[in-house]
Amino acid sequence: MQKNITIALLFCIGTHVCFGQEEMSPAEKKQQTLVTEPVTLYKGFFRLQLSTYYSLIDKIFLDSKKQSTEGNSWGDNFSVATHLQYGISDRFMVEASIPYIRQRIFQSFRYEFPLDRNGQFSDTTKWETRASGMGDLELAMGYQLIIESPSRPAVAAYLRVTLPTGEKDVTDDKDDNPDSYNMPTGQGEISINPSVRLRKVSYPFAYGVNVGYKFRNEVTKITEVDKPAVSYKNGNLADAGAFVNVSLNDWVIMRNLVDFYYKEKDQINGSETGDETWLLEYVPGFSFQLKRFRFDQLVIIPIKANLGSADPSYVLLFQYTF
Amino acid sequence: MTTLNKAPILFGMLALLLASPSCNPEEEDLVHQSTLDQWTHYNTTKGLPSDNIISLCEGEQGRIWIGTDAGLSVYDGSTFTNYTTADGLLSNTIYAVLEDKDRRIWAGTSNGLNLFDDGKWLPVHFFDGAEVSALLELSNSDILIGTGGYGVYKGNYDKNTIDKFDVVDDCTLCNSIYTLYNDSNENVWIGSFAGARRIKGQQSVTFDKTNGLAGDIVTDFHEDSFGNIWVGCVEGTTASRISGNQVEQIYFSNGSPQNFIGAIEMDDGDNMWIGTILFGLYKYDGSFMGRVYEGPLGNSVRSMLKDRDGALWIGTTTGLARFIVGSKKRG
Amino acid sequence: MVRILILAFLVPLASFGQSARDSLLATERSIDRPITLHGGQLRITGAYSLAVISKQFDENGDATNLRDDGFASVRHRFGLDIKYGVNEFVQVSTFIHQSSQTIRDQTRGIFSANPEEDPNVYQNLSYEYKGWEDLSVNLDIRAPFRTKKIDVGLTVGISMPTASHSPDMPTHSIEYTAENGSTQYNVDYNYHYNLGKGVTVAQLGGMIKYRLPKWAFSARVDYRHGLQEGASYEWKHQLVEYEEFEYRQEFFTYRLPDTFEYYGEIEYQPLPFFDIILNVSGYHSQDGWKTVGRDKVAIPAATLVTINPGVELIVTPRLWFRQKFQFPVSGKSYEGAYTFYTSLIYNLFLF
Repeated sequence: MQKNITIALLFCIGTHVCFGQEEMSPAEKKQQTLVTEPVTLYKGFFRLQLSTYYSLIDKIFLDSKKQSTEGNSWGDNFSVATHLQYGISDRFMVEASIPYIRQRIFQSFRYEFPLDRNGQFSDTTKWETRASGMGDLELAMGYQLIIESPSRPAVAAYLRVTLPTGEKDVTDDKDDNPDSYNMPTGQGEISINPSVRLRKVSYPFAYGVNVGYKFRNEVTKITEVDKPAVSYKNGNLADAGAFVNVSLNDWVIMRNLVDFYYKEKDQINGSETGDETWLLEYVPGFSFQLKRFRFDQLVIIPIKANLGSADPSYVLLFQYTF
Repeated sequence: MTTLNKAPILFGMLALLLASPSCNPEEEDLVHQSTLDQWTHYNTTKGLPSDNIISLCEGEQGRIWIGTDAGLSVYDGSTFTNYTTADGLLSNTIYAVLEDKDRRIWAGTSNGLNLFDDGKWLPVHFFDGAEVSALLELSNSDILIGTGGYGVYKGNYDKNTIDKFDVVDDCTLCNSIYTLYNDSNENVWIGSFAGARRIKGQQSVTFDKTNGLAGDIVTDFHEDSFGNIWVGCVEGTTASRISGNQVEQIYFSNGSPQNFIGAIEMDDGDNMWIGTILFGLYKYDGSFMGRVYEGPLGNSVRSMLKDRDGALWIGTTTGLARFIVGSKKRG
Repeated sequence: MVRILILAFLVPLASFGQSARDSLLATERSIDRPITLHGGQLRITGAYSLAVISKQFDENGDATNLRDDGFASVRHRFGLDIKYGVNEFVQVSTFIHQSSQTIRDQTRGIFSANPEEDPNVYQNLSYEYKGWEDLSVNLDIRAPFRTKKIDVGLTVGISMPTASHSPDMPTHSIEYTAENGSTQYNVDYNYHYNLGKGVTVAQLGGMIKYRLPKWAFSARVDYRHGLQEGASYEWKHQLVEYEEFEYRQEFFTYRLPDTFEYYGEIEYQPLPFFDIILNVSGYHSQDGWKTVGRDKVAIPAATLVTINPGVELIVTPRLWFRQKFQFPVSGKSYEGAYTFYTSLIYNLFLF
């Protein structure tokens, strides 16, 4: 009997040593970093996150080559999104987020028309194409299928649903310039995006992979000013990524993520249009954890694509766990 | 009293002047951006004998010789000095003017050829009564004289000789010379009423409408920086560009049924300037013609010249303009 | 991609192989650091800057908004700087940058009087500046004062013409289209420039730093002068048969403008590992020229004044993280760029 108790005690101590930590208080859990926190929120935790996103419109991928956009055009994309997360249990969390979007494209063009032998009409016109307003609402839930242990990674499944709360149509901005119009802030579609994420912590590292697929439905919307609405379907989107995060000290983490996206062709009125697109991007960044407050800086760098934007995007995340 | 040798004293004074700390030769040599892209206009109110500018030539120390239909003028940068038949010119209609290497002034008129010598305009009697429409100095100091109907002659002042250079038998139009030009390969180009002829030694090649030229009446030539020869014609809607023996057309895109080209010149930025008689001045940027609306005086350009400072002189039927060429680029 | 990896490579090194002298790096505050490295110290800095050039100052100092006309541009610049402390008062350093920027000029439509026969012309124009800049080597000498309140230093340096300075051949293109009875040429003019200066440039500078318990005040001035005239060429083009472009080189000589760069900086150290910086910088250039034909055309004198707030974090004793934002305040004949700098600084003692 005494021998069994001794063995049991040793086992408990050994197990405690192997796991390497004592049970944390809720306050301590709220200060966990990106590396040490679980893949879903703890029960009863509430998290508020503001994410800002900024990119410029300068270069594009065309035929898999990076080149400058043509003509006098300059633009930028800016959005700020509010995310609310709540842990219903230690394995199950829900999230809601909605962005405010502002996109601007500035263009100018100089016309020179000969009038007669003595003169010409020349003029430079400038116009702005803009999207400004709230985007589509996203609701998500995540469930930790397998809780992380020293011998196995955490596996979590997520389901994101996007609802068309943003403006979906191209609209006339009532400017005299026919080339000037308002772009939509939303897609007008309902999309469902299931994904799976694996994460393993080997302090100071945390690494993992994620895969997902977004199903998008058909929607009727106006894509050109003063033209009738069309039936439009964005191509479904598959993505896969891998990440490695490194704790540099107790409160600074370096983030690294590589993502690959593949998008099917869009459809207009049932017919395929455009090309399939793919994109490989690298996202490095830093995460700073100051008590319950987290501040992240990320850069989304398009490495290679066949079509699409080639400009990096700059992301700032501000997060507080209540 | 000992006569001083003044030369060393004068040299010393000159050296002192140049060495003066207030004189910065390098900075004074610089052209500033604010002086570029500037137009200056001259007409009878400024001292020209006529607003109808027919011919231009640059002489010693940057003097500009200006042939008009009311005499010959010379501009020294501040004033115009005018010469007419009263000063010995054979006619007041000056089709061509040339200052040769020895600073002799030749004036081709509607009634013969004049030489300005020892302060007087003297006739070159060989050409009395003939229209002298073009003058060109070759590298060997021969002067080519183009006439209206008698072909091209070659004169040498020092040798006191005048010989036939290019006279075509039984072809009055071939011998009616409008312009002469010498390119960088030492080819002589003759613009006549029967096309353009390129002559080197004994070899002669003719360009006219039958082999691609825009017209048969050739008014001007100019070589561009790629070695092509630009040819201006009276007929046709285009400018012609000859590369080797290939002729290419450069379009004006101005809707004119006929672009009578009066003059062609090239600026220091290698842009070609083409003056037309009815539709004004054009600039070719290497790809396309662009009309230059503001600057020249009038739409009828008859002559052009680039001076030693790189400025363009544009002679029209309504005055003379000088343009200091600049190039503004954003990048 | 390589440049990103250089920056990423610095980070893992930071966490390994800590030594006793790391405590000096960990405890020495930014305001206390001497203006040269400690003897035996090696510092490698990887930097990235994003500049949005949305403003241009003209020769009168008036600012033009480039954004509304679509003329704004963005410049990405990566830099690598290696410094070594020979001893407590002498430091050698070398640095090099790689940069890319494309400037788009006015898009024009030149309409023909008779587009059925004489095509309209649509033209785009872009200038790409891309590649390595010249390699620079500096020697910094610090005065051997006993007091820690003040530091004074002198810098002599040289920038060597290691990078290409003449432009690459342009890649112009032309396309003919005909529809609805109208014909058109779409022309793209694309110029490609390299970033070398083509001449050796000498640098002479000085710096002073004054310290208080939680503050430090610095000032620095640098003068750069090209040691010789340079020679380069421009590409001229001609369109042949309205189908393809031919090019030739037009040679010219130039003298680089002399430049003065200066800054005044205030640092506040609220925490031992966190430093706040406010910097005001100035730039002035003059006396440069370039030949155009027979003329030497002066390069306009240029000035720029910027305000640059920033922060520095000591992430680990060896790894520091610095960010700075630059706001253009005034200038003449120069671009006004809003620039965001991020640097990763890695330190170690070799011996």
